[in-house]
Amino acid sequence: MPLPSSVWRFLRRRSSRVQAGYVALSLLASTIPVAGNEQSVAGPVHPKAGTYKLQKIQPAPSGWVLEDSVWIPRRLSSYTKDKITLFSFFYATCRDPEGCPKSWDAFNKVHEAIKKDPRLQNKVRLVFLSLDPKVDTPEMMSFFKTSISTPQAPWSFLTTWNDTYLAPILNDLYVPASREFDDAGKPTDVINHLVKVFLIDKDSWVREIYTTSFLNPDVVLSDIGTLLLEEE
Amino acid sequence: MKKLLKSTVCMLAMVAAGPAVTLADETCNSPFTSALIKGQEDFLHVWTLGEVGVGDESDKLVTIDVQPNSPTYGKVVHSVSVGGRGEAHHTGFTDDRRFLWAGRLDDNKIFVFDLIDPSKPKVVKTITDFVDKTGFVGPHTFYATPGRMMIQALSNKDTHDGQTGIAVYNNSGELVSVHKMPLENGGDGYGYDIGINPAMNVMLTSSFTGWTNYMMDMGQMVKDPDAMKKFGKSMIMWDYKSMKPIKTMEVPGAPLEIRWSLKPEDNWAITATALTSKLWLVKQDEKGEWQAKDVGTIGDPSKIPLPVDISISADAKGLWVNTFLDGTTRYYDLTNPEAPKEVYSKKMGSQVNMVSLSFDGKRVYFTTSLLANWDKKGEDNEQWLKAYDWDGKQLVEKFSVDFHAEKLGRAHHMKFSAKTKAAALGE
Repeated sequence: MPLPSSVWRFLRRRSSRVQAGYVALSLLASTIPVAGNEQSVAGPVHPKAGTYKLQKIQPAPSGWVLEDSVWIPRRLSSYTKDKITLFSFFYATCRDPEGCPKSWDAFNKVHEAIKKDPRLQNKVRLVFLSLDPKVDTPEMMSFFKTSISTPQAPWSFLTTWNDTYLAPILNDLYVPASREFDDAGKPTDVINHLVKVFLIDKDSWVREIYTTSFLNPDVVLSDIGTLLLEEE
Repeated sequence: MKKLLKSTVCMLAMVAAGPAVTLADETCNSPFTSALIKGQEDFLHVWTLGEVGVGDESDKLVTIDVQPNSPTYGKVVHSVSVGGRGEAHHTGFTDDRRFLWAGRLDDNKIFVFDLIDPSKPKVVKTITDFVDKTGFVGPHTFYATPGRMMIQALSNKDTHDGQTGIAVYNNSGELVSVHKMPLENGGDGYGYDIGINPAMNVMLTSSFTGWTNYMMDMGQMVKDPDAMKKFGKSMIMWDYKSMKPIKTMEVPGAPLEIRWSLKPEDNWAITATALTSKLWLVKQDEKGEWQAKDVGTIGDPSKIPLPVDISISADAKGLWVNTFLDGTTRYYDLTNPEAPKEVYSKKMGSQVNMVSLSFDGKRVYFTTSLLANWDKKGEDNEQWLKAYDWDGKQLVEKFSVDFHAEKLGRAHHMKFSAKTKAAALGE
């Protein structure tokens, strides 16, 4: 993913740890292909959009989040209704190549597809929620949004005040996440987490869940197409 | 109860500690199960049938310390009774590996254990309306898919025969969908195991028998010609995404456990048939069509050794096969899956049922109980867990736990767990 100049300017004012993490994440996101064993999922072995039903798995989670200001709490539900939503967790300094970069890569491809396809524009949004509220401030989140999001293909970057507000959302979605400790028992900046991507319909129902090993943008787009046909 | 189930974020899935999940964990779980234990497991959990005259006579989850460096290595460190005897059978982890679902084939109760402290599993939810909600009987296979638990049943509430289906629950224990096993295009409606290959978008199912048979005394059943006709003889390949059958394959003699090759480039699964003592390979042909093929015998089929559980190695080059009636385990060279070759066998005892192989292939665990009314009687009703090291040539016993001497019951399904050191966010 190319790093927008505005984000560079923003990052120059941040700590070297944040800079290094984001650069690593950006490079990984731009270079890592979709995992090899996922290539065969789409195409002939995957059913066409609209020929299958996506079940209502569970309601989308509730909770309070922040977007562009620490002073303006927003309901998470306002980001998971009225449009089809692709939702996942991330944190800007994530360096695990099997973690956030794979989500970034998949989200980028879906985002590009939305921007190019009038049938998807204004009907699908992308949402990232940070696992690291101490580092991923609303200021940083709004820079991400400004640099990447478009009106026809909105991509929101959310964070929370602290882990206390984050944990219930993780629990609701059965996403395990924990902070790694060093040998001295001090917390590090590494957050172990199971990457899950959630496809949520406009009525706030989770309709599909993808894990990192089997996250294929073509399948996600097919599932989005299935939900759009269902709406019709 | 739902809050209890969701009370804290999982500490078990230390996913980022190493590469992300590959195609499976400990070789036999769902490929969607996270937190692969590639090294030494710390605990072994044994879903155990209560037995009249043995301890508290209740079904229970028994936890055994299997960490060689631990002072309690080889000992039972925890046991949680769930009350009553309902034909405890199989278990399965949720995708986040935090919870272990355990089913009973007779009273159809499903217990959800929280393994946030794997040394002390505790029940956090009991599903008691499986029959009312689904119409099925005998929740057998628990197979994690993302955010969900897929449950293959064995029977149904109306006829108690083998017509059955698959129920899908979310991780909170709420029913999401129900799918009947097909009766069309050669389908016999029976069910047993589930094996999903996500890369191919396919799901393979096998077939066993209904409540009337699996709750009958085995000696009585084998003398009943009508009963012996009521076993499954099919395997179904499904489109996993749409949950629609693609093809029914005739596999006579009750095909049971399904093991996909874990190598990403492979496109085959293997199973064993209980009544005909055969190994069957399910593989795509040159045209991409799924075919089932008889690729070998297990022991002497004329003596009906009754193959039960199988466990495939992570490199798909080896397969452990247990035969219940002769109490023997066999190891097959699967280098050529079209022609498996038996290279090792060992008499384990009077009876043996389940086999669990560690992901690194170095340790193998065995238990004894098949079904309460199918286990042998009297002195032949040995009930134990035995742990072995496997060096590629022979099994070397490390320890055993006598489930009768320990007043536990009948030892059945096994799952591994491991300790963790990190702290969940928000705690």
